[in-house]
Amino acid sequence: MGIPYTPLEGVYILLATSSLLVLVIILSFYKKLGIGREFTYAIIKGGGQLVLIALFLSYLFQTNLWIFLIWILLITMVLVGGYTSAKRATHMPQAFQVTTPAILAGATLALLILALSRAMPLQPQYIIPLAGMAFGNSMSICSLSLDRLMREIKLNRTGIESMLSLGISSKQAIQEYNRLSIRAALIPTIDRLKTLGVIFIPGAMAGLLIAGTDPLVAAEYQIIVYLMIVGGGIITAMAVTFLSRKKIFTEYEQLAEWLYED
Amino acid sequence: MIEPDSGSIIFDQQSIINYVPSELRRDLVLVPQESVMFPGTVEENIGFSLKVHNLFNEKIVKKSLSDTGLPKEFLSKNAGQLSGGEKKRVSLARALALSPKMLLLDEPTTGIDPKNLDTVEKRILDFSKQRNLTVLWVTHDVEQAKRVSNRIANIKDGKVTTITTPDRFQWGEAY
Repeated sequence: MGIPYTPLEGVYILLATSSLLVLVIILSFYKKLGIGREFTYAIIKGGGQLVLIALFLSYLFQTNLWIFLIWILLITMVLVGGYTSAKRATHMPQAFQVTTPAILAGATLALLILALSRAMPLQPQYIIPLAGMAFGNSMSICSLSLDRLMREIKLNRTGIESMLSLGISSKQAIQEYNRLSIRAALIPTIDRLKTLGVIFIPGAMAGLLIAGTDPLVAAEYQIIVYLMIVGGGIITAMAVTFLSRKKIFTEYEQLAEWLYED
Repeated sequence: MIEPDSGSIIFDQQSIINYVPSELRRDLVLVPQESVMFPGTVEENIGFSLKVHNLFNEKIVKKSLSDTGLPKEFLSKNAGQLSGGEKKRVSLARALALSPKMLLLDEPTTGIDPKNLDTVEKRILDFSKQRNLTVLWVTHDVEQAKRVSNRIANIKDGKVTTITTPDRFQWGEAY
């Protein structure tokens, strides 16, 4: 089975399905919604990126250098994820020192278990999409966790200072805020887990179904993948809170100066 | 705590830099100018640090509260709903519960009703004598400094300009 048309037919289909988007863009200009330009840019950028990655993958699946190229791709994923997520911690000095290892720890652990359990054969067509899911999910969880943690700490500075002045260690003083930030970061993932298959058919399962896999096998595989990715996300959230402590407090267990900047 | 550019601060025969910060802060407790209450009752607030350090004892909580002049009925009150002056006293009781060797009070009477000012000052003096407690009291009120202290240090531009007794302290010395 798989996709039921040739690449050339695909271009015609793409043009036909674009007609709805063209209509939306025309409507946007007509109604002055102000989203037309950004929408067009996003479609061209996103579409272009997908075509580029498709060309890269076509090459990767054929070349003997795939191991080397996959390493480059994985390193890029970690660095881009760490850098993107670090932007959530406004004013935190060198925030990528927190986000990059946290994303790396969570996603790597998830991928390692997938590989060891043979759920992810060590071939590029398995590694790349699963790594994308693992790193992407870890990055989102990292950003959400860091964003919430920063907000909680800044909102409760005087409370934390009061605790510190009573001989409570920095670790104990922010324990509650760590817990809140981990929980908040996992809410979208848990909600998605609860509604799996009801509101949406997740990516891996949809892909397998389109490729003609038995729905039960596809569902089973999706659960395996999802559990690993959620597990990795939790590790990431925990690592973020753990690693942030060194940035939040000075060596004398005081709140760092950057937390007082607006 | 900031590492000094020069000199050192000795507490209990040791430079404060050599202490584990959280351990130092159990013996040398700061009561900040702004009294922030933790969520919960007055009793939970006073017992909070004791619980964290596994030292909770109801008698200590009650004694700490009564030393600040608040009746025991306050123990069950919601700390967040107290007046500014009451919060200040709970904040003092929270510090006393740790049985520290020294208290650092940052403007401890700020926000206290003028009618209760004398009472709070007297309470602090009473419990510090009773507990043999050294108090470092930071104030901008020269008259208050003269009323409550054994020794006054005048600080100008971050430097101690004089250290003297209240009876010898001159108005002109205060900046």
